[in-house]
Amino acid sequence: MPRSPKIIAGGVILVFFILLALVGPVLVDGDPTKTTDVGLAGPSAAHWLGTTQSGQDVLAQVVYGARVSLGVGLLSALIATVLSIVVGLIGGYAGGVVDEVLSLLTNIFLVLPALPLVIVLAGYLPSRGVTSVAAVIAVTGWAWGARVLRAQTLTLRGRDYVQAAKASGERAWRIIFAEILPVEFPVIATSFLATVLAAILAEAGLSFLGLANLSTVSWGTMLYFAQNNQALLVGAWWWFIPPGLCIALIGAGLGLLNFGIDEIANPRLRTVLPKRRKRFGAGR
Amino acid sequence: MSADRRQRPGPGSAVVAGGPDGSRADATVRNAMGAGLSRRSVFGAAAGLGLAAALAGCGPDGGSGKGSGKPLVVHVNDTGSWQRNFNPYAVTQNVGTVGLFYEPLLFFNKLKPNDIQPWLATKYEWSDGGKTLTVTLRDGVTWSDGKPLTVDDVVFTYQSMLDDPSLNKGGVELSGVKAGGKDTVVFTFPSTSYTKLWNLAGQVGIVPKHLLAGKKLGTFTNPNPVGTGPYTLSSFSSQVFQVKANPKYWKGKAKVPVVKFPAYTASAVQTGLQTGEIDWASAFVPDLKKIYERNDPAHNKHFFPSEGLNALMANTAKAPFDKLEVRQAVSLAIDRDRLVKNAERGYVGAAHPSGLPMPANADWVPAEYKDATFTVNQAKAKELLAKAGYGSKKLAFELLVPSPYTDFVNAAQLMREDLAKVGIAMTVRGVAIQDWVAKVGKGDFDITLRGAVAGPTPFYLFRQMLSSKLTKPVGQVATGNYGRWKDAETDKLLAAYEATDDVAKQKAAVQGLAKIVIEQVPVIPLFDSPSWSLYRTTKYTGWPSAEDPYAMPSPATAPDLAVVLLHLKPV
Amino acid sequence: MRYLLRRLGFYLITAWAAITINFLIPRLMPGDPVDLMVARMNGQIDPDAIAAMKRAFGLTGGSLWSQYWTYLGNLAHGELGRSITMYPTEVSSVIGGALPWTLGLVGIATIISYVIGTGLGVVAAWRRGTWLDSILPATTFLQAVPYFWVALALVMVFGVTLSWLPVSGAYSLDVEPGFTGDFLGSMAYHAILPAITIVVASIADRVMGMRNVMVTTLGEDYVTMAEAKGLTSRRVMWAYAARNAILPNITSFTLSLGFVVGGSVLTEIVFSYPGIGSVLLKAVENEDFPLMQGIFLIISLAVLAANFLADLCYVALDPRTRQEA
Repeated sequence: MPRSPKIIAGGVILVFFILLALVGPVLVDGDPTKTTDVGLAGPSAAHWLGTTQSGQDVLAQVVYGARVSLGVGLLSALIATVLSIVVGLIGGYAGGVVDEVLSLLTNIFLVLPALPLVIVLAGYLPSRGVTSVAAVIAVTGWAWGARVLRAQTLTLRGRDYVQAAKASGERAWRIIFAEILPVEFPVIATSFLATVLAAILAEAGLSFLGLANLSTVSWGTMLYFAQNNQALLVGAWWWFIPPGLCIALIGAGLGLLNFGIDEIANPRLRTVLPKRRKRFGAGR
Repeated sequence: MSADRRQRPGPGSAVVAGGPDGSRADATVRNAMGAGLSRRSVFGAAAGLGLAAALAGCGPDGGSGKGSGKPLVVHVNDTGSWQRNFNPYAVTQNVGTVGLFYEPLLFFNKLKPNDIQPWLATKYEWSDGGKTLTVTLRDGVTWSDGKPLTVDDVVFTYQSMLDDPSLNKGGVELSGVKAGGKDTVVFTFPSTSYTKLWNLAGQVGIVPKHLLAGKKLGTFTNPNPVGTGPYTLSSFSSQVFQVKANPKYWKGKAKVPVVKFPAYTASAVQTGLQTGEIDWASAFVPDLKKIYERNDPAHNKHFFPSEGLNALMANTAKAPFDKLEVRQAVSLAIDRDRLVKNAERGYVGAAHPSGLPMPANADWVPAEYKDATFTVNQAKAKELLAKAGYGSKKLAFELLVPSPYTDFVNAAQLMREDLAKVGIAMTVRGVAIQDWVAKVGKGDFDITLRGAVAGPTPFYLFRQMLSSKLTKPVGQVATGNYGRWKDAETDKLLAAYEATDDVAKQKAAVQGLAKIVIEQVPVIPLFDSPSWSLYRTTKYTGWPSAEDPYAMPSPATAPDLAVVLLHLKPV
Repeated sequence: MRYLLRRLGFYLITAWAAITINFLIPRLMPGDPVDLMVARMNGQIDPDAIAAMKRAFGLTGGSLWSQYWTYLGNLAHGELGRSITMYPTEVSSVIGGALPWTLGLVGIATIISYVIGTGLGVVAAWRRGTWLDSILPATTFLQAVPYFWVALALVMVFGVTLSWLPVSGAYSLDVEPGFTGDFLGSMAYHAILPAITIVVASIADRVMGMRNVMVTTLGEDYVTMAEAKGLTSRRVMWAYAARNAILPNITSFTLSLGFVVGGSVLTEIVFSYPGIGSVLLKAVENEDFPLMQGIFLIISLAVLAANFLADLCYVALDPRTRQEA
């Protein structure tokens, strides 16, 4: 277990938010959408983070919102990572026409601007549930990982142990998934973590534009409603600050973790590290 | 953020470009109601003079007033940028195209039922049992290029709609239009059309034949509008367009010399209101005191009269809402005061049980229900549920709301809490607007929250919500009456209204309809749908108010905005 | 040369793919903008008018294949169709009106962010092991802050509370657009807050990107060699290491230039900036398919062009012309 302070700090932040999402709802009583007559009250003993316009408890919303925001983040990162592993490893290992086609596909998705594409796709979605939003984000976010993994696979393909496995007659899929995949774990991990953050940000952006499902509570929809009710103009900072801060904190946690992995992994990997933001561009 | 329906143009607006919520109040676009007003009316000399003065608000001595007025900054609808489109036939025309530049024949004041005033027409007369309409054109009106307005222009305006049905957005069934003399135009209709007057004469802007003849009006953007109206376009950019008072205007130059229409997005409007950059706005402000009034409560005023109804539209074509007791129970369980206070910030009132906007329509409800109000009665609701067979069996259904309409989502959550108290399990399903429109149109829902717009008389509201002519069986797209209400008595009363231009008979028909709404609850009225108008009295006075409701106060309502501008006087 | 031709071929195929996806997406999705508009008008449009409008909007049937050819034919003539929400304005003129604002604002902000970020990245890599390292974890926080959150906070503090800077629009309502000092000054004044937003929210990426490349470069023999020769550290840092490290970073820069076009949608919306982002949102909200397609097409082509530019830079700057791995 690495003793890097960055990994520890990042891990602590992440574990905190995951615990918040998992057990938080038990500790914070009540329904995050439950309205009361105390609208726009500042932080108090009864409402630690104050209330929204319609008297909903901001703390409860932050806690429940963690579920949706993290859920969308993890789910779409999972889908995107599986896609990038499949496309990247198969393409890199197989070479030839298969590789040409898969590379082309990857490059196409890489140059298609992601946030506008997400917005357009979300605009067409008939129902905007958590899963469909996660899927849309994943579809537009897998390509960078695939490209990095393909490059890795290309180098690994020539390694002795892979050649040895090949010579001993192991089947291709076994070589790909049992021999090559584990070696690429650090790359996959960093790519996965970066995608989680990108997806959380994309979900927040979509919600903020009113394009996600506004009847579920996520940090993005919280910001949407806070903005819609002009929380800042009426001085209700307690409504606006927490969700944005949570997103930034989670992002910092993921970034620190990535930093740490980066430092223990092969230093050469550093240069091909996925640059997270590129995936969603300046359009975040 | 920008999707909040309340920050969009309200009903009656001529602008679709503002956003999806247009759909919500169904409302929206002008011509929302199919029919028009019917009243045989010849403006007498005295009345004509008085009304014309009311319309113009200022005498010919206008422009040269002492304090030459300051520019007025107006926010109409949330848009990031403007496009140069001033085609009065386009659904997507920029605000003010009809009103500021092009003028209709008549003005309908929707805040006073049957308050119809002359505009480009000085009088109109029905004959042949409501199948022929003769309109007399005002004399001495010129286009802003100096050419006189003639009956040929009027005939051209309507003939174009007959030639190209895509221009006939109001769906006015016209069989012909021709000049009847030097200053009269004769319209003929295939059937009795008293109720079509509004769409025909109150919503269509008269255009110049000499400039538009030969143009493809369906795709023409008309970048340099030349009209008869009180203003002309003086500059245009995607961020702001500006109009200036027309010195040749037939009632004299307007006293507001320059009006600016900047393009604001939803959040920028709020900061604009707070910093005092905007003088007149159609916008929902989450907190009037803190955001808008705070700097100058004496001058920063608002007027939010009701221009329609927000109601629960229950699908009466299927269980459970085919049962009267269920509709009544739901209605009894809902605490409308709480909805109004929490979801609508207290800006609107709870609906009258008839669904009609009050006080404008006080004469149109049956006397015994004039003072009726909704009160919560959980015991009675439970009793009715038991009677309907939902005593031991729990009543469960789904409320469909468009999730970008945040106040609807909010109200839905409140109602869910209310209904749970009487043992009803209502789930709230938020969907995209397109999806909502499609599902509601096809009747693929249990119950939904939707707005409906009142027209110049209450008839239009009832026709839109209850007419069996507008509905379709579940599975086919209806054009109104989404709750699939089918009732012979309702149809008879609607037909009775359409067949007459006698106000007493019209009132009797509407009172009958109001009684049906109150007693049979075909829709469950919740709260009023306001016309948003925030105005500052620092530069000008003479705004519409509860005391003097001479026009819809929101700048998003065309052609009313021109009427309001003509009423303003510099401070 | 062969490399460039190969790349060109790739871009052409990608452009075709983008165009085709663009064509397919709206046709695979349910719904029809005219039905939506009719619903908005409360169904009071008669059936003839609906049919005529659908014809006018180009929504009439025909097989998918024939629609595809019509679409390609129109594109070849540069016709993007007419916007539905702003009918009958042409999509090309809507985009033409919005694009310059986006290019100006986001383009300049991106360049500023790149220059400052790269510089900081070089210094951060060079000074490894000093106090500068402790700043790096902080950049991870900056990387994750949502643009619109930063934007709204800036509006609140500098626009509303302090009233130092304008918070909406591209120029003041009092000035007439034109090449006058007043207008340009007003434009620059209005661009300050949105530009700061973009720079603040994107600079961390640039710092990290440059630092990572630079750290690797510093390990290269020729840098060690230069140091051994006793050159000043300033000279080694800029003339040897940074100069070489900047090459791969050019890709990232040109890529981000492409994103400029579609970029910062949220920033534009918060600041009421009349750019392409506001238009895109409006198009999405109104299901305005032709407008969405047009914007998407322009963005895709811009990204492709930027990529091609990056390739050209590579050829010009690096004789070895690194092939993609």
